[in-house]
Amino acid sequence: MLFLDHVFYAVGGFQLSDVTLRVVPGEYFVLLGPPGAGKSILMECACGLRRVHAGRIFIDQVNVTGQEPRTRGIGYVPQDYALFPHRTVRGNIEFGLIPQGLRRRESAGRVNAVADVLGIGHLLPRQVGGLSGGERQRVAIARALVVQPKVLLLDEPVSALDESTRRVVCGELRALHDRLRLTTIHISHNQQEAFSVADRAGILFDGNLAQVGTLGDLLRKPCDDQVAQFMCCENILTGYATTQDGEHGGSCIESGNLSVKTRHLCRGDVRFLVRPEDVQVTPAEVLEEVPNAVTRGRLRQIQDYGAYCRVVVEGEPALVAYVSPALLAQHGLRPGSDVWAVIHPDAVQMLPAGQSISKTKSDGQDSVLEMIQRRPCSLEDIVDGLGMHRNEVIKYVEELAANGLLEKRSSGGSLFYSGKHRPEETQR
Amino acid sequence: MSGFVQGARPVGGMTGYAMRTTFQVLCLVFVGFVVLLLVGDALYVDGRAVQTVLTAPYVRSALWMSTWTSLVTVAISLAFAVPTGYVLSRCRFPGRSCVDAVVDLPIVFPPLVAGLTLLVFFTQTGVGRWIENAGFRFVFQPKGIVLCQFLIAASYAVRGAKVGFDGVDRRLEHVGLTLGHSEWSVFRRVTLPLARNGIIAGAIMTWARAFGTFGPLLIFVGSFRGRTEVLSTTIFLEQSVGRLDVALVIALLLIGIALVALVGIRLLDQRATTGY
Repeated sequence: MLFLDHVFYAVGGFQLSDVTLRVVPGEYFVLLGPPGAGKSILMECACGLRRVHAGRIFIDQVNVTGQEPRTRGIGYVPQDYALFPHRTVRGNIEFGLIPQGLRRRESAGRVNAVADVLGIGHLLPRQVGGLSGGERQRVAIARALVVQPKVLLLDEPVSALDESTRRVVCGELRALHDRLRLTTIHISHNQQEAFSVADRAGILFDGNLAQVGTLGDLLRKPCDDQVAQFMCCENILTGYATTQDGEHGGSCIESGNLSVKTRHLCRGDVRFLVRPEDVQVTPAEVLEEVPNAVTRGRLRQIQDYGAYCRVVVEGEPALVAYVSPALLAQHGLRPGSDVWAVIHPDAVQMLPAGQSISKTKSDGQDSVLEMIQRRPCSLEDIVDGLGMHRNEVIKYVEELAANGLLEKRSSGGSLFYSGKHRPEETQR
Repeated sequence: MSGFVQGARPVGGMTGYAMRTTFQVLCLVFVGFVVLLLVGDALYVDGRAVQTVLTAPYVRSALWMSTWTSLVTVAISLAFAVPTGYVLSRCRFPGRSCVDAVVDLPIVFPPLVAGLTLLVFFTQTGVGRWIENAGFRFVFQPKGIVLCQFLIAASYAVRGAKVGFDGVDRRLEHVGLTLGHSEWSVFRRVTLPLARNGIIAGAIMTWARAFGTFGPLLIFVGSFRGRTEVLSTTIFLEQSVGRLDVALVIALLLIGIALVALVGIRLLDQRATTGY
């Protein structure tokens, strides 16, 4: 287990600000972020290669903040692998066993065992100079694993590999993790890479940990614009929400010609997002009945990425959609074609109150209160219903409880919140 | 076979061809100039002068003195150069640029000034006189030869070591630290072996400079035959008494020894680096 507790570190004009991160035992965690976000610096702090200026670092419940790197028990695989060029593959792998003072036979046995796990037994006598990228990576991982670390840290382990090798190696990394169940942190700037290996992920921007969660959460419930954009969501829209009990039991959001009845409860000016893969494009003449959440527009741009096409539907609002090349070919769609862009109501995700144009802290509190006044809700119900970030909801719930506007009730092992009316509302 | 093969020449246009040809011609002119001078020297000497040099006991004595003093100088220089080079390469501290400049200062010392400085220090200053009186005599002593050579040549060793350490990827050291090694262990097992080429290059330069040192020796230790005489001072003494042919034979001997040593060390180093 690795726990970074309010870590602060500054170098030059860059700083890691109050980073708190808990990676649970046996988890495969991916730390995402654009280049220059501070991912490697954060992990070097965890390794002890940089002394943090504030905060604490725990590995398996032990505070290692002041400890030297050699005693922390982190197996570190840096970017480009950093193999020792003056040692053979065997010499590289057994390097970590030298301080342990093992007998030659025992040391050789451990090197052979880890080499067999990674399928590099035949490479042991070779110099590292002639190895391929994939072989170098395996040797670097073997070198880190042979010392039996508590945490394995992989800094962009597949960034130097070509696309097809990258997919294969990511599969192998995940399989290796499933076999060893070693707590693993994998640094990457590629979300597809993260999807192929991670249990959970965190996104770092400019030294700030923006969001931590499952990849589904990062993809569908980003905490802000930055995370949404990093997760390739190009449709970040503004609109006006009116609360009404409609077909979907939530608010209706108007944005240009688009009208969406969502499951979310919100009101006033709002910002919401729709993932491009959730936007369906249909030729104008095909759609006989105009359903909920649809806008008409003209195809402005088609970019073919092989497996899918990115199209821009120029309407009000403009929407980006990922569609299959077969669909475009089937309907003969080309730039200038009139189309409908259809959005499923479940695909609409609200951006948290803090990100909304006019939503203030009291708006957020009001939304939570309004929801729990209707019916008792669990924390998850509120998060899902309002599309807010979990931490934000917890904050509002605590504030409402402190003001005596919220009651907590336990039922079926879950905690439910129900709302009371404000004193002025009661008087009215 | 894909990739850039060492020694292979890429397809080049006329500009590249002209550039390479010009550089090759200039290189040839420089090497030719040096070789021409040596050939001129070799043609000037005769068999009698060669026989004199090969049989004279004072020449053998000077050769031995040159050899052991220069080797001791290299050893002492490396003892200081490796830590100093490491500090200059790895550590950031106030005044680092000044320290870096001071390390290079002896390279630009006029040789006579170096000798004069040492002489003044050991004869005119309190600290110098105390060292001399404490039994560590350098002035007009063989030990002084080593001190002179060290002052003149150690900077090359420091510079070579620094270049060597600069070339070692810090991430290799970081990996070593996370693999359970102490900083000293990482230095010994990773940094030092990888900086070896730079250190060896510095050592070669130091030895070559020390072997040929002349000016400061004449001032600081004099040129007492059989006591503080090295090959370079022998050349001076021989030419000062008009035996130019003997001086030239000794000079060629000195150059020959230096050439064999330099080529030999480079070949050994190349073999150790490439494995063949």
